[in-house]
Amino acid sequence: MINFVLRKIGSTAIVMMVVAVIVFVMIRVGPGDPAAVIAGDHATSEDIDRIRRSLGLDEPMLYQFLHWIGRLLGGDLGQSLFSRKPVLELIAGRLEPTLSLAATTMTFAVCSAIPLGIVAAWQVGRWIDRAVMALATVAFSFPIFIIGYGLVWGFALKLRWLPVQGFRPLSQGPAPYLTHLVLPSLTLGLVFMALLTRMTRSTMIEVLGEDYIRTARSKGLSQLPILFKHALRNAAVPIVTTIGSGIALLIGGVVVAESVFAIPGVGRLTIEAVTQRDYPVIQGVLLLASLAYVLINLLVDLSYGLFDPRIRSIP
Amino acid sequence: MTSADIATPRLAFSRTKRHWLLRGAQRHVTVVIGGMLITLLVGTALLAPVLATHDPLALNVAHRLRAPSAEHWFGTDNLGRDVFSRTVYGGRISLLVGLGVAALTTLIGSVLGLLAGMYRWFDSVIMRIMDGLMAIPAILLAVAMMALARPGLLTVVIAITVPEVPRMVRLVRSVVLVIRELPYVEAATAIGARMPRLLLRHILPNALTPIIIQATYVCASAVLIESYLGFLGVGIPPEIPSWGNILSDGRSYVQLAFWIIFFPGMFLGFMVLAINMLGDGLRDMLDPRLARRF
Repeated sequence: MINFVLRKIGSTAIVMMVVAVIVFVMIRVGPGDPAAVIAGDHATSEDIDRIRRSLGLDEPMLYQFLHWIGRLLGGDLGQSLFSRKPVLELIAGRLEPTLSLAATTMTFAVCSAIPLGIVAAWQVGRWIDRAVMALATVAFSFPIFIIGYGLVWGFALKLRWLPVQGFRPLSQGPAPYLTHLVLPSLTLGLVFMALLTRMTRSTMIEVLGEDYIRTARSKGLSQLPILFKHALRNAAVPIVTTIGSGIALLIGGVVVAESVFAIPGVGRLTIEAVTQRDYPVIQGVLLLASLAYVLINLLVDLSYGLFDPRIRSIP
Repeated sequence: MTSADIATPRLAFSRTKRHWLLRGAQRHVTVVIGGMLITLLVGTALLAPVLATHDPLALNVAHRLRAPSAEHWFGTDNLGRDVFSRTVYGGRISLLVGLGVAALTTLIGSVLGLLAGMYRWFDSVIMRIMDGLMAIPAILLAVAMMALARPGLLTVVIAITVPEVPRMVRLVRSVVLVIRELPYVEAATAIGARMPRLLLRHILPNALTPIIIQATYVCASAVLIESYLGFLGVGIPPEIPSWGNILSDGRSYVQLAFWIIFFPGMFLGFMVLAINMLGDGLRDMLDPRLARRF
């Protein structure tokens, strides 16, 4: 088990290293010259050279890379080209809305998708299965903003139950905090739910066909313990894996949902950085988003031992 | 023996084959519905110059933000442009992006996947790079790539393709790893088939089904991501009426004039839905083993 854990941590570190290389190379081999972009349209070539020197872009590539990695490992993501604030500070200031939205979305999606997937697998081929699958395919195909504006139109503008947009920090009380999160997390959660429902259903269908399920049935066990104790536990590993790899989708979705609902989170920061071509901020967001994704998937890999004793006994 | 004697069994064979396909189509309603929807939407995109009632770029400030009417079927936007004409023309751009990304992803993904499946040293290098690419959320990566290059149709296609490639490489590689151990590949090697021939004549054709299915999903995802890039204001240059750009123009007026985003949004949703349904249906029809896995 310890070997298993160490190997997983090692491969996670390698993936992060590759991400760092990709992010570094991307900015430097892209057709746009950062120095020229910062200098603006009316800059002379001396201006561009001066900016290039001040950014260290005239140094040899390998030297730049090692220097950059050294600062990254020290927790220094550089500073914004425009506001001159440290990138880490800028991102930290936008974390609350983004993490809140991600957490509520995830809770909603997991709590709805797993029961739906189980019911669909249990009733496979019947109308309820078809209805669940149709809902999942539609939710997966329609763009987040169309679903979002649809919900806003219904629940915020017509029924007036919920606020149209914006975010309230938790420090202003739990009620406004939660009401502002309902529509964004419902919008984003539908997409994530669709993905998870499909995966839960197909895994459960496969598991329900196994011999030990037939044994459980022939022992006379009733439907519920078979579904939840015998089948779900054996379907847990692929389901949890899908939740983990879905984090990438969730992070991307958060960027769009924050734009739809005017939530001042990391996603909005990214879009602002992209329109201003604020390279250090773009790099910082890419690195931290990938780090979050990779760490969550490390936890997912390590959690397999909880569900499957066979993995615990891997030397 | 007359020629009819030989022809009869052949005919019988073709009839059973057609039966198999027909039965498949009946059983897989999704393929039929998906295919019909796609035909309809591709048809409107191709026939855009005939169907459009107005010039999609013509400004008419006097007619701005008009609700849908006989004159403007889907209403007009904030600059008085006809939303219906823009929507049908926008379908061409979105389809072009979808097909472009699907083709490019399939090409790059198949080449890298085939090589990774056949050569061990290449495998370890390329798969580490793919793991790294997969760790960066697709929309973020595409958005960041748009910041680096001059915005244009090709940039958008590349920005959407790069995050899609790793999954294709993984898929092709895993299929190749299975196929290369099959007896007929061994037989081909035994009679002296060399590498390029072995890959292109023996392995690639048998890996084609999962590649095609994956390519349909990539196409659906590309159409969706193009709309997200446009919506976020970092997509194709704003003067081109892609669905993403129409939606981006309409978002500031969503409470005043919902029709600017409603109609193109529906076209977009149904297009992605249709491609996904076609993909699901093709998967069920062509590859029952894969169907059980997902």
